[in-house]
Amino acid sequence: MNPPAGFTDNDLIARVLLKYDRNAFSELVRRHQSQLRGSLRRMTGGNVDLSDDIAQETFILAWKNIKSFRYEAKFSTWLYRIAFNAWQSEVRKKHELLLDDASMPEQEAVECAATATGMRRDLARAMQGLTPGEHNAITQCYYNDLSHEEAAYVLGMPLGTVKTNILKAKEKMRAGLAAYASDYRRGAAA
Amino acid sequence: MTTPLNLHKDEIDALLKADAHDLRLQHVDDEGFTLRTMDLLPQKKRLSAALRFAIPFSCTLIASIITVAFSAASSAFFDAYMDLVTETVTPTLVGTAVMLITLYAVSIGGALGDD
Repeated sequence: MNPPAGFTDNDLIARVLLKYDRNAFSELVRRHQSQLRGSLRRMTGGNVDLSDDIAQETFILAWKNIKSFRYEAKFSTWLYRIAFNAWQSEVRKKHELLLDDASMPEQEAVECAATATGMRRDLARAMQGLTPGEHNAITQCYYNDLSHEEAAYVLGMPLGTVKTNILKAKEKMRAGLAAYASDYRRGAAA
Repeated sequence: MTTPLNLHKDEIDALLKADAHDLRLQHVDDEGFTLRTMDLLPQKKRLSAALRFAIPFSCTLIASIITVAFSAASSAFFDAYMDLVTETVTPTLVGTAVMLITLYAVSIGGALGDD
């Protein structure tokens, strides 16, 4: 029997810990799959198959290691940390730059091109000029909506480094988007 | 999110927030992902039913023997045994029977429980 929808994540985790309740864990997967898969698709440059594989690996690792969840972070933040480490491991394993457009399957590339706005295309282009550290910091803080502290936890780096990476990233993007930002400002004023 | 510097003057910040907000609204349909993931989860290793019976039963039996051996209850057990032999129903016999039945019930419960 599925647990009631009113259960919080912590209630469900407690059921998993106490009773190995697979239905409770299934509810956790159902709740967080969209956010996690969306985040991984951005991290992998739109590679749906790879991002889903990493998402599955993330949930399997979460199931195996749920006893180590200490409630210090939100469950979603903990998942992001596992997913980030799994993705880093994948990158190391394959020795390829997954953010490269070339790694994006043709069908997905077409779909992204069709739906992306001009602003999004410019942002994506500007983000390609960032170092991995800067890119990861921007992804976690903006696209995963994490605080600087949570991003530092997910990325396994000092808080100061995260803040520095974000400032540097924004400086680089500012330079890259200077022309577009002027248009955006004019549009906003109109 | 932690308030960034120059929030109102920072176009990059505004662009990123707007873009991230739009992307977060794009729900990724499950399309069987949860089921596929649940199928891949390893089963938790569980003790066999025999062990789940034997462990609580042995522990409870040993504890009972130690308790009886080092307490005045030993004579009660002897009395109960004698009542059983002579087919006489006494409170001592009933009490002992209830205790033994409880011991078995706890052990069987441990074996069958939580499946």
